[in-house]
Amino acid sequence: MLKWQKEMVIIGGGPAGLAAAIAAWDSGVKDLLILERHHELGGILNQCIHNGFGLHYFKEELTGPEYAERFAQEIEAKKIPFLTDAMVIRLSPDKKILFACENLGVVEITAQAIILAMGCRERTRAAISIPGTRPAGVFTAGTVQNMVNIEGLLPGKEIVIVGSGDIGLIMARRLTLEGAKVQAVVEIMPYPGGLTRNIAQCLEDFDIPLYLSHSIAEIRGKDRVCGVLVAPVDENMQPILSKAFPLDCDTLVLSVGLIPENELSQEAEVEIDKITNGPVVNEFLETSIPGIFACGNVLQVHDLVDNVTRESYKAGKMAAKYIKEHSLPLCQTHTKALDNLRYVVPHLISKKAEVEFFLRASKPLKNATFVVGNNLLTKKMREAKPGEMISITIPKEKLTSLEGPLEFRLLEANATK
Amino acid sequence: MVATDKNFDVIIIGGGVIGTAVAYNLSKLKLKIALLEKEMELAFGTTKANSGIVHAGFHSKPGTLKASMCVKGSLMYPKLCQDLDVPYKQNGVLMVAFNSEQLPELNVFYNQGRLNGLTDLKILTRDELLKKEPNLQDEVIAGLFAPTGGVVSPFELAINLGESAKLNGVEVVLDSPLLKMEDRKNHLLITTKDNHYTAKIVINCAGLYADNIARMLGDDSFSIIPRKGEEYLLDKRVGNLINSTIFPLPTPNSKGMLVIPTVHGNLMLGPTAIEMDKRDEFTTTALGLKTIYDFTKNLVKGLEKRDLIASFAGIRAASDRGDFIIEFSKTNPRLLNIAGIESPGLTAAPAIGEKILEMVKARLNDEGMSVGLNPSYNPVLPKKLHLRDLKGPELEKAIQQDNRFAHVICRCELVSEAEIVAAIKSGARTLDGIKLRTRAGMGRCQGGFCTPKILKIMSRELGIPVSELTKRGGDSVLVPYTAKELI
Amino acid sequence: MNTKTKKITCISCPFGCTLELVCQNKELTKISGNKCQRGHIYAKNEFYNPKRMLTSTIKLIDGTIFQLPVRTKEPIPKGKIKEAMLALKTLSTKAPIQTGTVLVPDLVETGVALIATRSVKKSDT
Repeated sequence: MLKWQKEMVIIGGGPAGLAAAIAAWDSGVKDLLILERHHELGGILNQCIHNGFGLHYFKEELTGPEYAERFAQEIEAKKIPFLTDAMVIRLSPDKKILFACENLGVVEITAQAIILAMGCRERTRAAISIPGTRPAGVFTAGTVQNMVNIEGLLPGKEIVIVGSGDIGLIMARRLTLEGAKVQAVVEIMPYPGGLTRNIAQCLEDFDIPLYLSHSIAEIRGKDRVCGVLVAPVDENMQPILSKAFPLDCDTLVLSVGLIPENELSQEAEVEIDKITNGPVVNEFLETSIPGIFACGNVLQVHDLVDNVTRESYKAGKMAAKYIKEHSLPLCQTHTKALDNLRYVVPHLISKKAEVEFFLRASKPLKNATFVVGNNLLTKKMREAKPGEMISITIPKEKLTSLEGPLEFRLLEANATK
Repeated sequence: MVATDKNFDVIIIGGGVIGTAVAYNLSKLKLKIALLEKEMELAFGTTKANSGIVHAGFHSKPGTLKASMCVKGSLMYPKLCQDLDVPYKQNGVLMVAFNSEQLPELNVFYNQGRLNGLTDLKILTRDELLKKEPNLQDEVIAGLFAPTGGVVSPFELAINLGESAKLNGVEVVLDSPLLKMEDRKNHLLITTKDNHYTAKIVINCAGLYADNIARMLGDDSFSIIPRKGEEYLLDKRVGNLINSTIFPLPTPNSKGMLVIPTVHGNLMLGPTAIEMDKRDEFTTTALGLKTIYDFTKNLVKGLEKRDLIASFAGIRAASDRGDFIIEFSKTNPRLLNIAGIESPGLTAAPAIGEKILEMVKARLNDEGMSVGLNPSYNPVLPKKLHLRDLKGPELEKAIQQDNRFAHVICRCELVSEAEIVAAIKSGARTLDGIKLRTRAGMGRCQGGFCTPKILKIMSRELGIPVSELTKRGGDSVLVPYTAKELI
Repeated sequence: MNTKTKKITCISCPFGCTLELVCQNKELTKISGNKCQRGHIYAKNEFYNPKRMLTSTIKLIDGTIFQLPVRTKEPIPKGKIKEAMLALKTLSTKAPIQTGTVLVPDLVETGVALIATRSVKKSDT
């Protein structure tokens, strides 16, 4: 078996891995390798052929493949080493990586630093326990996106989409344009999961009905889906069957959330946050294992790739710093997401430098006040939505004097008066 | 269109675990044998949804066929699974009591097991139990442990039994439901949509439809009473919460709802037991999930709905006679019925197969036909390599011989292109067929990433356009159109 | 005077501002709710001639992939989208191809070009 030594290995060649690799390279780490399981770089962006990427980062509106290509070209121009069709099959706490690829067989790499950038996967039918039969024609939105945009296939004629996250909305438009009839988008929450502009341009433009506070009570069809039963839900999110109505369709597309794909991380005994499903990280994006870093959707599911890029640059830089200095400053102060906030990343800080935090609201709020610590910092928010990540940078001087954990709160309008 | 007549000594109807076990055993004899299956592939009926438990044999009443076949079959499993390269693990079966009222019942099963011939049963105290299974709920007070119990992959068992039978000369005919069966004095005549078949003996292993088959020859001595069970599969992350299969004390019509550590490392919860009018109603229900979850979470700690990765339902082919039916029909001596094979049917299957071998031999002898042994019989199936099991030099060697072993198709279950191709070569024709053989698509993403890749490989290897590929045959076409085709 | 107000969602960026449009006698007289100039432009366009960027794929021959992702260089009138998709149905091109390559200079008489949104190398086989 081939055995290699590398200063740095980046697992995943999607937007996160590429940005991390470029940052590490630019910080002086030349002995690095990107391992990508697909046959080309770019990750899931290659199948996201719609526009809407890069407004923050490139100040122009790009499609997924265009956004990915800018990074892939930089990788090639700088001659940053990468392998495609290379699947990591084992990862151990002592930073040994075992990967397989057709040309090389199995290779073991011992790395000084590893950046986890494996992205995420979709939640499935079972995760939301839809009752009914098990016919052909039930797919997740990402699978359908791959079939339509990469393979040029169309899974069905009449489609019902469950979940109003961005991928579901984007696919409602894509499937309509490609010749299918999208009967409805069904969302269990009382508010849409995706960006407001996607409700406008993907549903309203095509008169696709959106059923909020509804769920699929049953999948019907023996061999192939022939319909679904849609029901409004009560306050406990249980379907009210007496008010249920059938919708004919031959395909059910599930867009019911993404889960960071951390099976490798767990194998390496990296500590996982039960809320984000991603690693617990400090302000350097370093996991519970020194020298293993995480960025992008494997760390937390982002709604904007621009944020993935920013986060991943940081991970690359910090991993390079780790290699140079053999360790990073101690981070012992915990962060905590309280009132109306579901989570905050990073989980641990040093209090010795400025930190950018990413947070998610647990429900939509209007005219809320965002409060950090004991009024260390407050910020009015006209609108906070679970679908849109909140980011805030807190300067060093606000952090140095902090005692105890750093708490974040999102207070409702009347509560602040 | 009916083509030529095909003449056989024995025809087996049904390619579930019973039909394939019978075929596997009969292939030891020098006979002309065919197996007819109505579905596109073997194991697509009740077998596919089996819980995969190899019972020890303390559940069944002494003196019944269920008891004798179960105890005998259970002991055959280790060797059989080794011969046929089927995943099997002897993890033991544990029946647990949660209150003192259940203690006498536990003793009843202990004594019943002893009468059935089990010598290594043990009643465990609370301390012994918790040492063995620390994640049992605190209220547990005692348990009955049977070390010979195990878990097996039921569909892989049936598929490999069928494959072995095929290699040993049995003609396996898929996608061939029986239209008609007639008595032609010296043989029985079977008509399917493609062919006529004749046989001296027809073995009815038609599971849910066994009574319909028997009635074709006027035998109405039993009826199938379909009983549905829902099952819920949890992520491998929680697969090691328990070691043994955990049983509660049973109810009158089932062994109760269990927590099963599957042979592939998941946890399975279930099944329910609901008698049905229909035989093709495989829905899972909100009530089923609630019933199972509410019950099993009182057995084992740490079971969470968030770890659910799949759900499915199967229908047990129970009969109105209670015990297994393994007998020549009283209406027609050429028909051998194997029916009502509900739990512990999977465990009993190898023993039933062996019993049938003797019954068939005897019957043919009576007809003056001396049956010799199949001279080229080989009981061992060549081992199939799986990327997930390969380590070190084995892994390197496999990749050297076929570099498609290094091309991972299913990332959740770590299945390579080489395995997908091998599955197709060994007979898989549908997406589910590939899934059952390789586990591709059975993991936590449930085929999200690998389905498009597998469809491409299937299309390439089978020479069928993607738009015609099915999930499990019939009208279960997966991706019927191309983009813009419908504009 | 015939004064109407209408609320629309700006799709120029992920913020998705709610814009309030006031119109008198079919003329747009006031735009509010936008956080930036792009919102103002969007509101005007949306009122007089709503346009959308169209993204899809066309067949690609000889490439390492078989579907080439494409988009309109600028947004095109909403009413033209169906016609544009019909035109894309029969369109194909050959690898190698570069991002930004103009595939159709004037897509269905919109005056807007259809361009490739990724580069694809020629396949070895």
